[in-house]
Amino acid sequence: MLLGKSRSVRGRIAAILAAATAIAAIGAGVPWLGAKLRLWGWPEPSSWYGVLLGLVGGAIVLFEMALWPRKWLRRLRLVPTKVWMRLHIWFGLICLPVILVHAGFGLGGLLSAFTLILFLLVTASGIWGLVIQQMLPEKLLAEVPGETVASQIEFVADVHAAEAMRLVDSLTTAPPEYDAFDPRAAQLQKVAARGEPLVTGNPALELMRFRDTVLVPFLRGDGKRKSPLRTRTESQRRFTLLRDTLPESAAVVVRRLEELADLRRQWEFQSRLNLWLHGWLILHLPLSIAMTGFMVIHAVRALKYW
Amino acid sequence: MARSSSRDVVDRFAGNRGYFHRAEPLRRWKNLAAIGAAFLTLGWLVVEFVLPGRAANAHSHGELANPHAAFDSDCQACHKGHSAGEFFSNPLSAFGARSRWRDLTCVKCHAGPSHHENAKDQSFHNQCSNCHHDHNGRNFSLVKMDDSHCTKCHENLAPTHATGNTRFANTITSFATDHPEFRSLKIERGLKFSHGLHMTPGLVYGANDQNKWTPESLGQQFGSDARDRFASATGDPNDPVQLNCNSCHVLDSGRPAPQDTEANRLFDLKLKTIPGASRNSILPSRSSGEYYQPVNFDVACKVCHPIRSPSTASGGVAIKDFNIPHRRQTNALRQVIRGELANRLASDKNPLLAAPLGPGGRLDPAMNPELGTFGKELDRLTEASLQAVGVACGKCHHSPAAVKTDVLPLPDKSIWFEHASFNHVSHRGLTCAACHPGTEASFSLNEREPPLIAGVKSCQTCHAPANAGGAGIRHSCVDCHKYHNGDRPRQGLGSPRRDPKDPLSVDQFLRGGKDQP
Repeated sequence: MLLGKSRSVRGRIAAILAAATAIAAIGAGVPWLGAKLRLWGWPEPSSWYGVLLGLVGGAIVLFEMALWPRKWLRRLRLVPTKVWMRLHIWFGLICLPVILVHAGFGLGGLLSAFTLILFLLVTASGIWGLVIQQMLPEKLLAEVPGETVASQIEFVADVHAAEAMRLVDSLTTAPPEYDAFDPRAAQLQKVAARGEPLVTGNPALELMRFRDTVLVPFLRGDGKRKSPLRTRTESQRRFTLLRDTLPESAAVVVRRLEELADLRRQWEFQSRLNLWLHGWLILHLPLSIAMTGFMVIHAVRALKYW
Repeated sequence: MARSSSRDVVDRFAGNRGYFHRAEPLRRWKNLAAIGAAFLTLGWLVVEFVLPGRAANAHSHGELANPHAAFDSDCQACHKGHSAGEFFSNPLSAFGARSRWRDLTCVKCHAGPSHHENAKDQSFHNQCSNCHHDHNGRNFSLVKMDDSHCTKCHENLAPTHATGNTRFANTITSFATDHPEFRSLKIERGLKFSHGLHMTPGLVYGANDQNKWTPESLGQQFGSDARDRFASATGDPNDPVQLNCNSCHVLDSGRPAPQDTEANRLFDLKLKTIPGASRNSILPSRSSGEYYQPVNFDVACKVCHPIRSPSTASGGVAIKDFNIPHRRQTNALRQVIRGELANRLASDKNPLLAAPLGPGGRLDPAMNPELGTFGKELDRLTEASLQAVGVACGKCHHSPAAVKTDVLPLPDKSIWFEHASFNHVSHRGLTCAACHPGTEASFSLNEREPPLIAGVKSCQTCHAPANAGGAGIRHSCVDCHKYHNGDRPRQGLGSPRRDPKDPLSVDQFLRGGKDQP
């Protein structure tokens, strides 16, 4: 566990939020409240401790950004990933009050305000990503047993669409002569012995129409939002109807077709979960880069004129 | 044969084993956004070098106040830049950012004596921006400081003083709570003057006094100018004269506008009391109106209180009374009176001067014994007149017993609060008596009035926070106290001590100084 030792998702999320809140409250809330109550002066960025906090905050930001080159150099096994990530998270949380006090709880000029807002967005997106990464993998395990590599879903779906085409063809066309050296020769012999398609007439037409207009487009992801196979209930109804229409001997094929549709449905869900699981990085990483760049510019300018 | 689940999974990637080399959409977007962010930062860096003025605006934590608006894009106009060499030669100097930031070059355009030349911590007082905070917007006032700037020292003043002692109140935390009473209230006035008497209709000494002054009686006594000047609102010449504050006290509002005929008429009447005075000399053109002008005897008093020598006679010559100028000490007055008397005594009717020098007389006649007494007679008359005039001086002027002959000059009290400013114009909605009590019917004659200022409590009625019993009207230290001339409060902003040592041309000013490129 990166934060806390709770095994439950809720416990881990609670630990993250509690840690973030406690660090912010102690690190920033206490100085703010003390200044409000006039126990001490209002924090000033240009005071010696303001500069010190700025330098500490800057150092933390640079360490946080080091996660990126560390990923490039993962083969060097510099520090265990788990340790690095734990430091990344803890330092990230600690950096929030450090920077807020450094800023004197103000925005300052346009550039420093922009940098601070970027920093807050980076921190918020980081916390959001951390929470999401506690929650979704468990959900993925529970609800997507047929999980595949997320980036390969469309490729695998095409493979499945081709398989569906073949399976339906095997029911609606005459079996070919079999190759005696084929490892499946015994099975193929039985099929070839039939001499004619398993499904003929209207049921065959119905099956092919189902394959061409419903199943294959769904597997290929064309118009999947409108597909009747999008929901489990409707899908089951459709395949039950198909099973009733076709002869008993086609049941195995129909079961496989239903399985393919079910996998595709799971992968759709997996895609959505994957977007949530990693999508925050589309925000977190570029914002971090911009924030670091502007932070350096801010620091140089401040040291020149302050 | 049943398909194994692992076979199923493996078969999915047949012909696509190198999939991980190809970027998936999510990663592609992430990379694109990261590159965009990097370019954004680099773009800004280009702006920093190519358009440093634009970049400076973004670094500034707020617009400069109006007087400094020209320097919004030029940090170096005010701030002293620090080179990398300076930083690397002493990296710890980074922690002195605050003092570096406040190390400004204000004196290029501004000068002024420090507020407290005898404060212990001169380094604090010498940095303008410790009190004057810019970068707070165009309309922000650089001189309206928070009380904390003052109470930093004034809440316990003595230890902050170079000597460890102070003649000022040691503890002041706010105007509403512990501001001391005005020291001006303890001033002993040098003039015996009764506002009560002068503000009573007809200027009578009591209810039974029948000799009330009317415009008519003033005219008979002092001439038509007096009658016209104190004419009543109804125009009835027998109405009792009613003076008001404005009869004597005039704001430094400048000369009346040409179209303001009534003001011009009164102005000219006053002007006539000073022979030869020009309009400019009596009321220069000013417009601030903060303070009342000092009450001038010639303008305000002489019309009813002319100073004249008594009528007298010498030998057979009658010497009529004549005007004596105001504002002369005894010796100067003696010379004036003696001259006037000599002029009048030097008449051919004066038997003292009737020396027979006609035909049959001696070429070198012996001096007329009567003429020898002329000087003595002049001395006698002069001293007698001086005595009478001196009594008149003493009617108004108070002189301590130690001062036998001369009149103590009155302190200029057009400004009563020497360490604070006050603007009468801002308070003109109130009656004068709201802050200056003492014009009631009861009064005492021949005594010096105390200063007729109600005191700090009367100010706090309005100028204190609502929760402290006031009306919430502004009550900051700087609303009344002005600095950099604290030791010379009367000099004001126009003091030459505020002039910069090396004034700039417009071009130099807009560039932020002579040294700026």
